[in-house]
Amino acid sequence: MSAQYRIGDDIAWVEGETGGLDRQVVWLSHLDTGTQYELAGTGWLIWVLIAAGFTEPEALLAELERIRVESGAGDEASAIDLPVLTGFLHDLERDGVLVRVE
Amino acid sequence: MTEATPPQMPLWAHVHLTHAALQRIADEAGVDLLHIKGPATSTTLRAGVHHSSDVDVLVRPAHLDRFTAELETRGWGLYSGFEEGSPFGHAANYTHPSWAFADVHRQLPGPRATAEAVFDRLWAERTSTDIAHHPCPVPSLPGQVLVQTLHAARSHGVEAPDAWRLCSDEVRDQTRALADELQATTALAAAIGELDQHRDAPDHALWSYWSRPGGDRLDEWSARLLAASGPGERARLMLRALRVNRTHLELRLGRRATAADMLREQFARTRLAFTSLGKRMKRGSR
Repeated sequence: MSAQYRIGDDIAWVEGETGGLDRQVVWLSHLDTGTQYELAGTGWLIWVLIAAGFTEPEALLAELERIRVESGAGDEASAIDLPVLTGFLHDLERDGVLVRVE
Repeated sequence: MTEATPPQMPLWAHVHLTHAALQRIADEAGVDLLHIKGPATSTTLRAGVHHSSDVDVLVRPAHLDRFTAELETRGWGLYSGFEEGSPFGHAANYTHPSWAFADVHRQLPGPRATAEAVFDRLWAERTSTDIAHHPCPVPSLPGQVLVQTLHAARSHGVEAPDAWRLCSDEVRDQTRALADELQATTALAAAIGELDQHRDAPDHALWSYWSRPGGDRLDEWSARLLAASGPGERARLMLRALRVNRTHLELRLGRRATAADMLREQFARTRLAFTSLGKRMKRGSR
């Protein structure tokens, strides 16, 4: 069984949509340090999918691919492969916004 | 896909995140506080998307010192104290390099009940709402309507009582009952166009001043003196009326105020009071 990721307990986050923005973006902040991050586009999509319960990289990748195809962006948007996705998740884990659950 | 300290984060988003940060501090310090206004207000009580510029929290009075001490421990700085902020002296303003401005309330302007009684009543019927995906205690729906409507009552007619306008008749009745209980009936009436029904109330002049456009410093202080509950409060108000607010002066000057600045301002303030009084006497003698 591969690692799973969840959003850290000390992370607050708000999507652009909350403020009426027509932009795929989420802003995150460490509650203890105040360090802030912005995830946009695919980064935003990955974040909301993790929040929705897609915690395993393989399941997350499958859902990203399904969305890419179903949205009709299949030919225009480049697919993400597992190493790229895993690297991104590692970055978020290193920054302390995601927690890895074995 | 990630960027640290994004410069393009809008203020409203910063406000959401800051609500969650203050709640984290309250949880860790064992402090009871209620998130009020802005994202703490139900969207059903808003006429549209509302963008707040600061974070408002009402702190249990007995926990206030602990909370403000904890803020300072965590890098927050006092921007303006309770006595330097609004004429009601109800909130202190704190800043932090990573967070939005925070207005820490020790009381709501409007109720004549004690700060402890107001907090206890609102806390007893609190509910919870997620702000930035963190649960934050907020007043009940009638409590939210009362808070927003009392805020409108002191806007000199600029802010509409949207929450009152948008809530159901049942919630209005509950809000009226809550206002009666907290002795905020006159302030509520001022916001919803019923002030004339409270002409005999001790705080009628005060809310007449705050809810209507115009008025000068003398109107304000006359109204506050009329609403004062006893000689002690009146004496404190008289002293405060002529005291220079260093924070406001420094904001206006754009630099630290010197002793000479304070002295000049004190003379100007006293002169303004007499000018207002002179105009009033001329109006009255016609």
